[in-house]
Amino acid sequence: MTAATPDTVRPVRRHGGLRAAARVRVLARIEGRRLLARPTVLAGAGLSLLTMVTLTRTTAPVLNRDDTTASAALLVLAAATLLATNAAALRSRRRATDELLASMPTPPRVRTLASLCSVAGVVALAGLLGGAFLLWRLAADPVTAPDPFELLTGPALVALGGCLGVALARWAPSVTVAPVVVVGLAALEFSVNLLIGGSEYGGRVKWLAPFVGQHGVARELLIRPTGWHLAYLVALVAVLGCVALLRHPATRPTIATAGAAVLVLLLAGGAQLRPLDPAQDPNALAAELTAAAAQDCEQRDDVTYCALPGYEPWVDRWAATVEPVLARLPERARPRPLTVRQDFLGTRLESLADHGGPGTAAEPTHSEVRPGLWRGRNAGEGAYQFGLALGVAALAVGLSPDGALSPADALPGQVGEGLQACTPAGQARSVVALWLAGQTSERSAEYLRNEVERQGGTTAPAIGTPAPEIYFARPAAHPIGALNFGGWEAAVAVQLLRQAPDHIAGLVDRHWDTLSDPATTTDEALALLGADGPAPGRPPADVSDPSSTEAGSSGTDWRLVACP
Amino acid sequence: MPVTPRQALRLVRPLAPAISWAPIAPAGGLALLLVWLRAQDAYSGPEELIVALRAAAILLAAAAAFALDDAAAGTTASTPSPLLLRRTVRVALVALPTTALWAGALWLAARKPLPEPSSLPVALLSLELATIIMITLALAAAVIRWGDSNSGGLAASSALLGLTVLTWLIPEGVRPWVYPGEPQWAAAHRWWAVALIASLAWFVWAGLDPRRRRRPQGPAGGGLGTGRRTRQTTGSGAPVQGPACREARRRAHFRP
Amino acid sequence: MNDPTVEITGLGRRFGRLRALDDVSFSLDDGITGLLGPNGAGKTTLLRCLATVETPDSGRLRILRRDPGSVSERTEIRRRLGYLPQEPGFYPNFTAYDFLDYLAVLKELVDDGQRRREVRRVLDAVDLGDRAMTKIRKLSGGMRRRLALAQALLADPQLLILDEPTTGLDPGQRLRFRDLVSRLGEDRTVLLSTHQTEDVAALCERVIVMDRGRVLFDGPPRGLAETARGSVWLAEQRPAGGGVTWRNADGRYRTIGDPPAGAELADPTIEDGYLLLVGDAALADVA
Repeated sequence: MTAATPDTVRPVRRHGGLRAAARVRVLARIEGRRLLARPTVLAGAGLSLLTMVTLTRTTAPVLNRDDTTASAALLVLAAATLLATNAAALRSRRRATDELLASMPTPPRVRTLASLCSVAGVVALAGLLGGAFLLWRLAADPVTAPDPFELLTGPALVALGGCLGVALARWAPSVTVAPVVVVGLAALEFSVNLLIGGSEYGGRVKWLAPFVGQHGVARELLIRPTGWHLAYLVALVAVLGCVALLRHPATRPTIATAGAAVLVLLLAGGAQLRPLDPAQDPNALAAELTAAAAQDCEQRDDVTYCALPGYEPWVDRWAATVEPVLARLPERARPRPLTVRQDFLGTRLESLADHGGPGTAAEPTHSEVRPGLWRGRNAGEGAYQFGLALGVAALAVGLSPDGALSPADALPGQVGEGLQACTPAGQARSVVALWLAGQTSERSAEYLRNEVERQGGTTAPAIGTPAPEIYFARPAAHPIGALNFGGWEAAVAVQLLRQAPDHIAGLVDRHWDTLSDPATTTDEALALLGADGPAPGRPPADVSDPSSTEAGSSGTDWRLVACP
Repeated sequence: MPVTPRQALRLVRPLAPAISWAPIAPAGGLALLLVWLRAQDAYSGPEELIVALRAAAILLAAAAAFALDDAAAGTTASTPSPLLLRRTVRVALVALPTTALWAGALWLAARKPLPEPSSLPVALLSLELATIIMITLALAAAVIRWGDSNSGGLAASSALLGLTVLTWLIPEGVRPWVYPGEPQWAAAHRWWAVALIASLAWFVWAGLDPRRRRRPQGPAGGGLGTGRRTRQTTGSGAPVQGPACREARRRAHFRP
Repeated sequence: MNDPTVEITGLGRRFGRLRALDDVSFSLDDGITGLLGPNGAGKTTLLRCLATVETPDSGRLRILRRDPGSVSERTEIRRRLGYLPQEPGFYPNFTAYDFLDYLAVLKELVDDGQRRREVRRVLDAVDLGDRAMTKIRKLSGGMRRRLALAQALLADPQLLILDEPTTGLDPGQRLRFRDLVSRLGEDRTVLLSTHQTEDVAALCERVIVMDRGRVLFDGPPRGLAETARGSVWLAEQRPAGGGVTWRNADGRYRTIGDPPAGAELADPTIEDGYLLLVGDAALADVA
């Protein structure tokens, strides 16, 4: 130690009567810096960003869904913040400095307040992540508009996690508590429907949970009380902060804040639970939006494009997929009229089916293809283009959506009514439709090739899988809502795609009447179209056997028949 | 001196109060609640039930992560009882209530009528539980070894949660969370078994006495550093190291 | 005449059946006072009461002319107090600078520039200036002890309470510590508890000896030594029989109490006086 002369041991000017705010500010800055540097928080931020990107990289930006995705992803950072603030608030206990800190003029309440305020830095980080994600999506031709309240929900969740971590540290001062709470809350969050019941539309009580997902339902049909929910979350943050502070001797500002926060919590929480008014009923909304789409249809050559409000920029993309299919068809085979009509049937709407269907939304007609509210992008673009093109091609070869799924007489030994689904597997027109869809673009072709390789040629890529939902047939309440074109047929189509498109188009034109006949088989198509090399191996008989039966997961038996 | 079962049994009584039992009950209670909720739900199928069981497994692992935390690690490091033995006894003690809770979760899940009994693969799900717990304990052992003897549980349980999120984000073909009937079901569980063995090996390695693995270093020409064991003695001629010293330590430790 | 810095009258503290403090009375002014006593004498409890982290059961305590029983006055006391606990905890992942910076804020040094200067000052005072950016987990035990002493010096306290401050310091560091504390004692009140009678001899103008919660001696160190005059003996052989006896570095046997056969009278030291007062209870500390 150096010799301490009287000159170096100078009296330090005292700040008598310091306001606690100054100490809170400085301590919060110190704690906040340490919090942002904690590996847990950094890992949480990285995982949140990765989640945002992973969940959306194969779909086109639809901002009124991406905002919820961003908030959902920030739950990971919220969990990390909970763990980090809990560990920081328990630091003095873990490291046995309680006695030392007890001799300081700064009371423990100030330290707790500083811990709560230190979360602000991570909340700002959450905002940055959400903002960066939004910018990334904005750069990719987005449609619709994000909900600002929804965007702010993510940072609010992070604040909630941070304050909960501090509150737990004060009331249950053990490092073992926070990890168990995180896993338990996460599991309960995803089981919220089990706890409180109710469908997506009736279960308003689920809004008392910190986060409510969209569950794949169209945002346009689902009124989300995001503003009230944000107020509810902010109030919950304040309540948790006061709970943490009430571990120390209560002060008037704390009690007043707690009272106000509880009041706002009750008001906002109650406002969320208000039942929808009739105009907000999903059926009514669907009818209104579909009618609006019908009024603003765009005509391009012989095709009518009807996009729902906000999705008009997608018409160009649809046209870019549909026109190459029509260009390869013989003039007489082009479906006229042809409408590409976007609707909500592409979203998971079992409850709509329970309610009797989407009201005035028209049933699919012979000349309509119905894309949904998703569009593939990057790795998902091929599937999307292929699915849309296949819908047009199926119409062209005479496949009818009416026959895809229909009631059937009870089968022998069956209880109740049955359903039957048709499949064009085994028919030449299936090969033609698949080839027409695959030749529209390189991505389409690549998708078909990959699917055949991945599935080993024994099952078929049904329309609408894997990601974007483009249903050719009515989805109804049955899990099988799309046609099965046959794995072997897909493999044959892949072979045809290796040849010059003009050559195959010429053969298709020449033999159209035969190829589009339901009675013409795949073998005959091979001969007519002259696939290069040996024919691909046949799949096992039971897969494309139209007379096989299966039990549906809803318990209703159904069977496959050949499409008429 | 070889480790004996008797030695392990003797450690049960002193180690039992030194373990953090606190998180196991709430974690177990939550785990049972989650599985029960799914089992009660008429609309949940086998996949949802498996998800609930996996969440239960992660809960139990997060609680078991604290089994190795030892505030007195610095003091017990020089005792004759090997670190690995003490850790094994700790893990065995924690395994008892964990196994009972898991059995309870499986029983609750099995009460739900399923289309096929094979929809709930109890053995393979138990393999997943064992692997998750072993990975968590291996992480805790690593943190304790290279960091703080009292922070292994917190770090390991946090890492477990991060890993869970990460495994959910990786491409479907390599994701460990597969379901019965999927083509990768069998292959995925081969990887689960590999992960179990690897984490067990890591756990063992992290529990070995570091002196056993490090060769003494020093000046050449005798004594330490030549690689030959030399006899060091105190001033009175008694050996500093060697069988007599180890025997003395053993007697001191197990004095009745 | 100014009120003393610390005024204790009839202080008592019990932990169950154990009387940790039993009718302790004394007062402190500027200068350095040593607190001696065997383990369990009540030294740490007394220091904790003076540091306002422990509340006595009975008696009267005034620190820096304030009543620690009042919340507002207790805060005022803590603003002017520096406390080094017997087992100070640390945050292993903090650097030495970060740790002192954090504690400086808790001592209400909220101005960034002033706080920075103050942290540097105390780090230099304990010779840790070049270790400011080293993480605490990489500091040796002696360095951590010096760091703990540094935090007690933050904000230039009027009352310094040091519980076994030289534990873990090597002889050279102990000498420098004595130099530092002796200068600090010139214009403030320092109360330090120690097992090292050499520290008491070198530093303290006054020494208080405690045992079983009671004050046995309160006076100058020379006075403590004088209490053993006529009772300290040196012999070549270990004397038979009882008495406090131990072997010196020169190989002779020192005895306190009745003269052994063939022994010669020796000049008493502070340690002799201490041992005479506390008897067998302190023998384990000395041996």
